[in-house]
Amino acid sequence: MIAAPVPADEDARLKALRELLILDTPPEERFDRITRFAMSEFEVPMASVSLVDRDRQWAKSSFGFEAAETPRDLSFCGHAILERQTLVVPDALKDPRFRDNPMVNGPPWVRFYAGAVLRMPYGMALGALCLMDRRPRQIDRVGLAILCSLRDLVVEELVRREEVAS
Amino acid sequence: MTVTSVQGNLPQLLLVEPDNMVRSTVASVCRGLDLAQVHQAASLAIGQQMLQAQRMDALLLSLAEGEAAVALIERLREARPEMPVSVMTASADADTVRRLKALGIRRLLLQPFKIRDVVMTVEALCAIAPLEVTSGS
Repeated sequence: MIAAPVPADEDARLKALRELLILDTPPEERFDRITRFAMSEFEVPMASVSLVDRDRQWAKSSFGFEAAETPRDLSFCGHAILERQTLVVPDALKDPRFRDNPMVNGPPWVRFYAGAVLRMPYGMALGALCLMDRRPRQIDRVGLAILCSLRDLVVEELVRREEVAS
Repeated sequence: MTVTSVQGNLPQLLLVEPDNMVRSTVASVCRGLDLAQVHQAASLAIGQQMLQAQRMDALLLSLAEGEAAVALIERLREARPEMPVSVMTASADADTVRRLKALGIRRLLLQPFKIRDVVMTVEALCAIAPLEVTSGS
């Protein structure tokens, strides 16, 4: 397993995340409806809006798995926030970054992952809207475009929250 | 009312759909895939205004407003008999289906549908739509 590397702008990224005042807040329907919509659209058993904190990945919205947070070392989204494009892992067992990850070899048994980066308008990557499945699968360009459009809706909600927080 | 970005010579499609998530996601995906320039209307009243204000190449319309939506297509057919039109609806009885067929509806999308189905419908509509070509000289 390769632990998610820390981005170069980590301090500024964490500051932006903390300023949202969203960590450890209760679920909100405006995020949950997007997550549910994504699950239904892609027919996946698990989906989440996940934010990457200093030492953990925390889900503002999640369906299909129980843990609201996981150590950052094990986090798929920790890898996703380093990508310019959507991170797609068609089969985690064949990917050296994830093949011996406890989330792959144990509950929730992740095999497929696709994470569209939640990048704020000023450039900070805070987390990902992600889809997960317990079987390997692919996602085509239409699917990627749909996932990115739903991701944009999540970012809009985060920006709205940021405006309220400030 | 939202109008998406202007993109080259893409077909102009009017999407009348009350669900904001469906509407904005379809518009965004079509923009991202260069399928169409999607103009969004949340209601028939706004859609009607947009049809009057701008020439559209195709129409994708929700039947959420019932008879009024069918009536809009009937009026549209008098002015634009060739315009490709598809509709989305939660349900349709035999009489409505007959009327829609008579109005030359290309496709009836029954809910629950996936965004992918709507995007494919947009693609099919725009493949049919005759693009209006304007001369620069």
